[in-house]
Amino acid sequence: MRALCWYGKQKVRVETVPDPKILNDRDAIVRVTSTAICGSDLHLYNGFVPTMERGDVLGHEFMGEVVEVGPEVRNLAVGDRVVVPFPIACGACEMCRQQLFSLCENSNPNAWIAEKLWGHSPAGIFGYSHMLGGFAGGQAEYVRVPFADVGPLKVPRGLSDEQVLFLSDIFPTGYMGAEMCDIQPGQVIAVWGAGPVGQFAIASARMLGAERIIAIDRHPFRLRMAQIRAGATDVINYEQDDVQDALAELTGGRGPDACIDAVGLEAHGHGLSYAYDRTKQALKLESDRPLVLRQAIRACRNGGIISIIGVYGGFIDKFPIGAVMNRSLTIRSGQCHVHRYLQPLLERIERGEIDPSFIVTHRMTLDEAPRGYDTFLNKRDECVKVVLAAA
Amino acid sequence: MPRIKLIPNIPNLQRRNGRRAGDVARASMSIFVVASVNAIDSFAARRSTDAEIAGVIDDEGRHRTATAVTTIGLPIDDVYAFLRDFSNFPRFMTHLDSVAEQGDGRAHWRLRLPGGRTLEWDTELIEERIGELFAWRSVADAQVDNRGVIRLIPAPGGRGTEVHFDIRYTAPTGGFGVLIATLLGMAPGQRVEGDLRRLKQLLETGEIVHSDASIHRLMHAAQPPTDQFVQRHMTEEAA
Repeated sequence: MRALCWYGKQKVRVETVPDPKILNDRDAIVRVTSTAICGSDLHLYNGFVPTMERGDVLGHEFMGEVVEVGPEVRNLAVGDRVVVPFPIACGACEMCRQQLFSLCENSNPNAWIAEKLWGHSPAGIFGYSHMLGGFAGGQAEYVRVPFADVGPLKVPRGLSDEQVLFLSDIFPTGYMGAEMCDIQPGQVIAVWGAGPVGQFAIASARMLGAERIIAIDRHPFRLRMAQIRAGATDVINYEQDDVQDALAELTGGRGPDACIDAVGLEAHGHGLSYAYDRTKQALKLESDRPLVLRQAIRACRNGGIISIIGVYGGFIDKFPIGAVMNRSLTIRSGQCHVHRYLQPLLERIERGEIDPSFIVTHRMTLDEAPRGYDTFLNKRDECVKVVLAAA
Repeated sequence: MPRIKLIPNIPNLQRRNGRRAGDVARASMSIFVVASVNAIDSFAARRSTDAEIAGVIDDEGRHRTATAVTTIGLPIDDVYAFLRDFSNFPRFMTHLDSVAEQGDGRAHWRLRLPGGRTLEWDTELIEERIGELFAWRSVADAQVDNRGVIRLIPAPGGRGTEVHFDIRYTAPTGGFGVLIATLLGMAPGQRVEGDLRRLKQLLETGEIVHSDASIHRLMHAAQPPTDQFVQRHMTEEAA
């Protein structure tokens, strides 16, 4: 089959690799009809995630048709149309039973590597480094899905691929980011990053009843989408305005009730602090650039919530713990526990409360994936989201 | 309120000989100090993630002792019954080929070495407290001195069973012994931790989850395996 393989920093190629096979009794094989390039794939593309191997098949946002099931998979049949959550979860361990699916204790065969870096291991993830399992990803014609009796969601024929594809990751991720804010009527939520996850965090904050939602980014076309399509009430372009001043102005000096970081470890900015983090990261003295976190913590109102859904990998410096402690801030975070949001969010789509396809700006075939990575990374042609459809 | 003086009043000794020289010296000193601190900083960051592996290799590599612990979400009696049957060991301890129960607490262990040689030894039960603990050791004239103890404790909050596993191998002396010692574990703690992870997977999910990379012995790209590889792998697993 054809698959998008990683070969190093900003080097990806579509190659012919062996077809996936059933390796465990609870596996299924899915023929991928649509897959997308995620902002977190750009962290792999830019070489910020350790334990990648040349030839790794990428991709963790995908959907398609079941073509084969293992002997223990009884809930799926060949021909079913499914969306697959990006974390792999067994459904039986303590974390899964608590609905914390991205922390499954049994789905990462390389847990020992993650334990060295993070103390304990989270779940395995499709196409996302060897530290998170070494699973081949879904930017391919076919993909093997472990624990297929737990993860995949059957989707009705009436909805298009683009309407349900993002249930695999970014819609639930944005939704969880907003949910972690404990939104009360009348509240003001600020969202850093108006990329795909930020757009869904904004749309979800709106669905969860926030009165005002402020989007922060530097690309006018993304801020425009945030305002017109996702439902942001205000926008701040940090290249034109000072974020702290603008947030103070927009919130009567209180600061936002909750701040969502939908950016993560490759944050951009300007000034001394940005130069400092770029330098430390280049010298490998700091793995992640925490510009957004510092800004969000500084801006947040007393007693507010910082919700982190942008991906971080390792260590940061100059973390303002004094502000967190003295101003009673709460930090919430996590890779999305996708499984628990699948059904409720599918129902919101079916009821017409949201049409997630609004973020798609570029459609390509799998063979054009390398151009898709370049277009998305460099925001060419006002790119927000690239979907790769089966040829 | 007294004001804190931020800049100490150090007399500028270089002023007479020219301000520049002093500034350059001070700047290089600062760069040196910052660089040193950063070096220590990155070292410390790396150290803090480099968890100690619970395991000891001693006596020129002949003894391998390892301990590991995990929690399994099943009642203590179920976990005990599974573990007390030595023939289940190869299902999660991948380096073993077979362990045959021989009754009366005795078991016959078999391990295949690279190159086709096999290593076999017998063990006997030396202590048993049902539902709590059992310990074994190899019989007097065994090729391999092997002993182990498994202790089970109920996890708080009804979260299942804590499994504490201690195992020790002492290889015979000589070249053969070194080979065995190497096989039994470069990092003995890591091997036993892996064994317990597989035990947990097996008991909680009914299978040991493979990834496209993990089925290979060495590092391998996360790409589906070839048909030939799968056939070979499945034959090995069946054996």
